[in-house]
Amino acid sequence: MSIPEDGDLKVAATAERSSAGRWPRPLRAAVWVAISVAGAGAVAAIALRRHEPINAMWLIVAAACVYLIGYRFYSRFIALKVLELDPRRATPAERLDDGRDFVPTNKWIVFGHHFAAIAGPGPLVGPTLAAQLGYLPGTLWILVGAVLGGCVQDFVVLFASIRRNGKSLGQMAKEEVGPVAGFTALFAITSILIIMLAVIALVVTNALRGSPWGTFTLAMTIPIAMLMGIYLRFLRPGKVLEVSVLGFILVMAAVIGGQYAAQSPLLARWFTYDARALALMIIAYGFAASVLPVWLLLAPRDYLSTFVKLGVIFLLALGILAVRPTLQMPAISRFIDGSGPVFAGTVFPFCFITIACGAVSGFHSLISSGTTPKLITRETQARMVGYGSMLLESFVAIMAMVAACVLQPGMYFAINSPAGIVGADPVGATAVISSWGYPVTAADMEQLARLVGEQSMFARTGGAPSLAVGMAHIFSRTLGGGHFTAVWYHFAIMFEALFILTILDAGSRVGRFMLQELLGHVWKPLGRTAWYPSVLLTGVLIVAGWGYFLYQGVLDPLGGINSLWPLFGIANQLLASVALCVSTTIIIKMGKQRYVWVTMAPMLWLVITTQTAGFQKIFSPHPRIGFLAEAERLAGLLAAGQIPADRIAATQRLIFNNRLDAVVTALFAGMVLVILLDSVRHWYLLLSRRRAPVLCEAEFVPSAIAGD
Amino acid sequence: MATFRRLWRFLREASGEGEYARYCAHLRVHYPDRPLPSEKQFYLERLKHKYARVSRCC
Repeated sequence: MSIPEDGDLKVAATAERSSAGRWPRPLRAAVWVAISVAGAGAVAAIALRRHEPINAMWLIVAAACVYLIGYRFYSRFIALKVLELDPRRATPAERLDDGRDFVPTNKWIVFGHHFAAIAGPGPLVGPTLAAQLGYLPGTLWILVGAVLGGCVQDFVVLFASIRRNGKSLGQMAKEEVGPVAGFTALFAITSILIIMLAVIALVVTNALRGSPWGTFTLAMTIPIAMLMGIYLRFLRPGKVLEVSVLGFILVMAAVIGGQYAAQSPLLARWFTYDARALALMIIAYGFAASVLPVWLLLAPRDYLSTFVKLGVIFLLALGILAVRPTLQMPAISRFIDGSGPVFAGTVFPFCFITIACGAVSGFHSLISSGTTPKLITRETQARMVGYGSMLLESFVAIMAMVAACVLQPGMYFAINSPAGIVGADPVGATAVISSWGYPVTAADMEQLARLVGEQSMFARTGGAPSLAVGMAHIFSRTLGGGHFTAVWYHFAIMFEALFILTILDAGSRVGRFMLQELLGHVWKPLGRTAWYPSVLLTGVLIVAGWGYFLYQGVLDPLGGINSLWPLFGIANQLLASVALCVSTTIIIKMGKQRYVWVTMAPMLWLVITTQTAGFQKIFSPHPRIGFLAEAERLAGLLAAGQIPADRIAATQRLIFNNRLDAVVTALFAGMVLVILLDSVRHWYLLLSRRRAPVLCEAEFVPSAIAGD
Repeated sequence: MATFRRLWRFLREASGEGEYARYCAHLRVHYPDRPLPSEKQFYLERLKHKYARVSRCC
């Protein structure tokens, strides 16, 4: 067994560099200087031009340059110096090749799988909500946070899992940090999963309420997916691509057919529901779908939604490049003072919490330590798969920011402001929004509603509808013109709703397994995954868990996303802190103390922002921000007899829910502090040499696979 | 046209259509005495396994 020397690695790297086809050094240096200058110029243009609307291409160019530089220099530095990726070390895919789970796979396919797994609604919703602050704060964090934080997390966790035969984050936390960290991580992951499912379910509910076209289209995707499932099981097993093409054609028919459903008075009645009814239907659906066999509904819908998702992301990029729209939203809006209608709170810490997945996402660490590490053929590919796919996700977030900001600000606020803040009456709401300095009229909004085929576009909170309006605007200017705006709008809604439903199904299923594992510690039979009573009980518990928060969000006069999204953002960023904590421990144990800031700096930043946000959400005296303050305010009104009799029960529920949200926030903050303190204790012992660094890596075996 | 065909082949490979053939080849090499599973059996097994862990993100 030979351990590669530093010198050997340098030789390998130089050999790589001087292989045929590379440009001469001065030319390459000149290209990178040009990219840096272009990037710096674009970022300066975004940051400094305040008085005229800028073109979206400035954001795109800035993003592209920042990503190129980040990838070429920072990820390379991490790969060569910090992690020392060894191209001659056999990966678990090679050593444990079993033809199914551990399979050395082409790096582009691994990249595709990994990106498809991490791409979710987060980078679409977060930037859309953060656009309330103007495009500048969100865009800066999407770029900086990804390059220095999110990509690093995904990359390092992937590497760590590859060296440990594909172990999950929870297992790595237990082995490298300690059993306390391990158990807390598992508990944190399960609870964060529940909040995430509730939030995305709320996004769909708010997008579809009062929308017969949208509800019809989404309802049709269920029988379409089942048809695909039956076709795949009985007719052509494994022929995923052809059945997905078939499914896509049917779904497009449903998107186009939806307008006839909306126009026919009989059908419209059958497909128009308010938020409460929709929430109950989605909860019932979530439970049913997660206990049905996987091949019938989940798998076919997953294939379909993955292709649609990737295709739309690609199309959106093309559309933005073709149309080069102007951003109507200012760089910085007046709501950086924390009084915004979409979410309350100042830029620090809430811009970071709101962007969440677009820059750093704790959930990705679960994917990075899931099936991906078992497919990697050569360690050096982890750079492209781990770092690179998060860069692409960050780019999706930039595109979502562009799509949100092409709207007139007044229109953006009219769509995203809850009735609880601007009032339910169109004329009154537009007057309030115009008084903020963002002019819009009731006639404008009525015209918009007609254009996209909805009854009303007011208070369509949750991020999906305004994103869909922006996307429809871009798509219809690329293809088809104004006649197809409504179809493009509902296509955009369908695209997001489709993969959200898939996540609800898959997530409820995974949540069930996790809960079974957790409960199995308490009472053994509950941990048996095939035991039907356990399946049923945990299934109900998980769906009831996210269902409760969904229903609470639907009843909230502020629209639900107002309080749930920060909860989700905090939870997500806390999981990222956990992942970065584990990564820091591993880096210290590898003897790379002098590079420990690579993971520790983003971790500290995340801990600071999320603990500050958590503290403010619990203890802030402003009722718009602090959960407890809002509960106090409502309790005060109730005690003073200022609540009409028919609203008393609802108000009591609101008080309870606000207090519950405060407790949940405190729980998340507490769990992360536990892991952080356990880790810090561990780091102290390691750095002061009171404990020997023992890495739990798999043994080194030289790779027999030739080439790259 | 050739690029379209390459793209189609890539998508097919990425969506897992080659999994069954690859598994059978692996079995034939390493466990020649074991019976090969049917395509349907294999497909269902893979699905159950895939969705038993976190596979889709926020």
